Amino acid sequence: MKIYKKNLNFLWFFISVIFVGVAEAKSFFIEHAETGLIGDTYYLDATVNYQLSDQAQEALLKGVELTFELKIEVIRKKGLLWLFNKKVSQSVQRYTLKYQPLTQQYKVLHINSGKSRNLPSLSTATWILGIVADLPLLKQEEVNPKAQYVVRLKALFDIESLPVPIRLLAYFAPGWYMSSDWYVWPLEP
Amino acid sequence: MASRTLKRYTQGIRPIILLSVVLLASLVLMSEAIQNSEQFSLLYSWLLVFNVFALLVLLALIAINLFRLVRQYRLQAPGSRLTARLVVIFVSLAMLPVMIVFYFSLNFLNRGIDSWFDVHTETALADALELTRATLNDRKRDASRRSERIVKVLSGISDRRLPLKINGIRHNNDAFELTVLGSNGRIIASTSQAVETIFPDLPSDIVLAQVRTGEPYIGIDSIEQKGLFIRVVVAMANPESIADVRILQALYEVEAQTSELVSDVQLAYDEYRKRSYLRKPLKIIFTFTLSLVLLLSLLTAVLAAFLLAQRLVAPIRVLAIGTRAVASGNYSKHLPLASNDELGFLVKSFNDMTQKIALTQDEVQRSQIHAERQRIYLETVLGRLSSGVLTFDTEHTLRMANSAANQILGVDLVERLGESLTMLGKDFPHLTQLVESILPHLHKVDEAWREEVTIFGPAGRQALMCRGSALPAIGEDVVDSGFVVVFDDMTSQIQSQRDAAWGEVARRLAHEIKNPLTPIRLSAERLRHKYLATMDAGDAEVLDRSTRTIVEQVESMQEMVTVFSEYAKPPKLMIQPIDINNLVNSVLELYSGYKIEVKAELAPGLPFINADAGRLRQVLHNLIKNAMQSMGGNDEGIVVVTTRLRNELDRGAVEICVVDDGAGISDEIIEQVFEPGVTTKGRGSGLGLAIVKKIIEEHGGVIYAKNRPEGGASFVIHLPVENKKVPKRG
Repeated sequence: MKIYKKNLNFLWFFISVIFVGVAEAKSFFIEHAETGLIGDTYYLDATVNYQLSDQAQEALLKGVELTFELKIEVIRKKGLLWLFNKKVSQSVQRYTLKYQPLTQQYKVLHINSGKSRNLPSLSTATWILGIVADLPLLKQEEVNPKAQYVVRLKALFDIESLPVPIRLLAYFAPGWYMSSDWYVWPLEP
Repeated sequence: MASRTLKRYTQGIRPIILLSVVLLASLVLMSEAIQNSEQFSLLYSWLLVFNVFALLVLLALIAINLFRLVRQYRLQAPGSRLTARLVVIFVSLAMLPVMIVFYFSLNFLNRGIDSWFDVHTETALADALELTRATLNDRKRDASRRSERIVKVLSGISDRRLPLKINGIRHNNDAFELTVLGSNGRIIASTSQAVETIFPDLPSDIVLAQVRTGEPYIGIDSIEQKGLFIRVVVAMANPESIADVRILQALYEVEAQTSELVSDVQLAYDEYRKRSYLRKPLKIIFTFTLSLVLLLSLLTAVLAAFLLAQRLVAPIRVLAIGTRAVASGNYSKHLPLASNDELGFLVKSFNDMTQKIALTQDEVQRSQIHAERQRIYLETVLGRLSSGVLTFDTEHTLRMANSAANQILGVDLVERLGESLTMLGKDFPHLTQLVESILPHLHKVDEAWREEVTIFGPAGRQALMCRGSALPAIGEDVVDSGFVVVFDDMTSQIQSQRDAAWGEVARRLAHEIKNPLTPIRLSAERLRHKYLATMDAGDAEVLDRSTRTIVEQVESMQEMVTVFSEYAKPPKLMIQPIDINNLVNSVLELYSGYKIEVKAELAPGLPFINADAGRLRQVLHNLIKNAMQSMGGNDEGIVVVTTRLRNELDRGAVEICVVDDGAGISDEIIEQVFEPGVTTKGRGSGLGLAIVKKIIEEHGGVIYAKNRPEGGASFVIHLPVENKKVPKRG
């Protein structure tokens, strides 16, 4: 299903670029990311700066739940050409952000773990959303000490999770194409 | 078999029905997806892609069908006009109601969506939220007051005694859970109304950070599986250290009923705001989906119109093609039976008809072949006949002539078929007598007739024995009725009879005359011998002259009798192969001393002929003497004897011509020149050329005479060649 979804996103993006000239907005930035070996497990710490577009903020305040994805991949380098590289591990961390009008708070939910937090402001909510701490990445035994590995990270907004009525328009609106560049660094203990 | 099955499932109406069902299902799913059905919401984009793709496929199929129809229309293919007309009718019928439904649906849709939202509802929901918020604020203030009391109580209790006191304090202040934390966030003491709670629900780092700055936190939090709580977090003094502070978190439970009402209000408000925000996109997407449904329905209807029109017209087109095939003479055309309806019945009837026509055609062909064979057989039979056969229709038009007729009349009548008898008489003057003789009989239908007709054709005078009768009509076909005329060339037969009669005359004449001639001569000689010496000079002279005349005339008559007997003598030929050129040369040598030049022009390499050399020499002598005599004392005349091979003649022949430059033969006697008694010479017996002809005919040859345009006569002999091979000269 994930593969289909990825293909579909690419398809819509392609159609949008061709017909509407929509360009992917670089609204998210990965400020810092590093790995550390604790025990026999590599852990990831990262800070992502999420800057929501006006359209996204308006939709959030109007009750639309926003979904974000953090894609993490560990790649074993096998040569100069990327073609020979091999993905050792990949995972997607999914988060939702929702405004609660009664309490006037923002609820951040980490879908993978089910943990949520209510935060008093949007800036606090996006700050908390961007903090990744001690996320298990892969076991040490999966890593060949003689080989070279890189970790790459990308944050993006999931249009497919928007309500159907707005989804079609979102495909053709640049404000909804929010993502970061791939942030790449060597896997270090 | 497999290809037929594949064809059945990929062509015709079945794929359209399948496509329609798939599209309908897809559109239903899309509709479900738009209405926020969680299950189909994920599929929406794929369904959209599928439907847009289906739209393009339909457009492509329609374009292909349209292009094909336009091309067939331009080529005026059978059925194309009817197909185009049906397509236009079907599309018009489909288009109009669909467009009306679309217009009203769009109106209802927009009004329907707008009717969901109104200011009063929005205000009421906002007021309800505000009211809920005010209620909760009252609860928060109450919680804050209770927390202040708890702080006062706890401020005087040391960390060591807190676990013992805290539960009572919680109970007294009606709190759900109380937790005292150190400034570092370490739990000093905690108590909860829920006995199963092991670890308290701690405030977040942010809240702790806020409280450490001296600002208390009062908020409403939803705790999973527990419900809605008012969370109060405040800093309080530590009795054991003035510099250090402790942090109190108090959770006050919102009543279940209130909690439920709050959740409902929040949910309703949240949902309404969301819907209000999505109103415009919802209209757009509904309009888009409706348009998509309309387009897909319309295009499917158009495609179905094409296929239905083609399906309806197919038997008619097949019939038109079949009719054209039959019109062009192809009766073996069998049309495929497409259906069992009236059109199918029509196709079946057409097939039956063509089958019967084909059978009839075969029968006609067989009859034609039979008739042709009969005709060829009849032609062969007629061609082998020595009698000439002519047939005429009732209009006296020549319908048939056999080769013997052509040969006898010297006219290629096959080229004149279809011409009237009168026209033939005008075109060929030598046939005038024949036409005039036949024509009266062609008006008499009931009786057979017989008549001898003489014509003067290129071969001379010809005696024809004609017989004729009317042809009966076959059935009611008047064309087959008419007349038949059969004629034989009796010329040679009459000539033979005449020659035989002449031979008999000559034989009797010779016999009757020869007998008294000798006594006459002997008596004359005796009279001369007995009385000449005794008579006086005058009487002696008379006697001498008279007896001499008698003897001379008797001698002359004896010579004549000899010639007559020669003519009447039956042939006793000494047939042997001879070289005709040698024969001619040997004859001509005898004339080398004559004043009149006799010369030869002989073609080399002539084949041997079987003949009696002596009789042929006699022929040549007779003809040369005849030629010399025709010059009437002109010594400068010249006689030429030529020979040549005539392969073009039937069986091949050697031609010998004796040509002179004398006076020629008068037109009056040229036809009878070879008959006995015909002569231009005063003292001739009239049998010379008759004997020549007799000898030539005894050799199976022919002879004829003709006048030369430059003057003189030419006698031409054709002698048949048995072996055309040229013999080797020794």
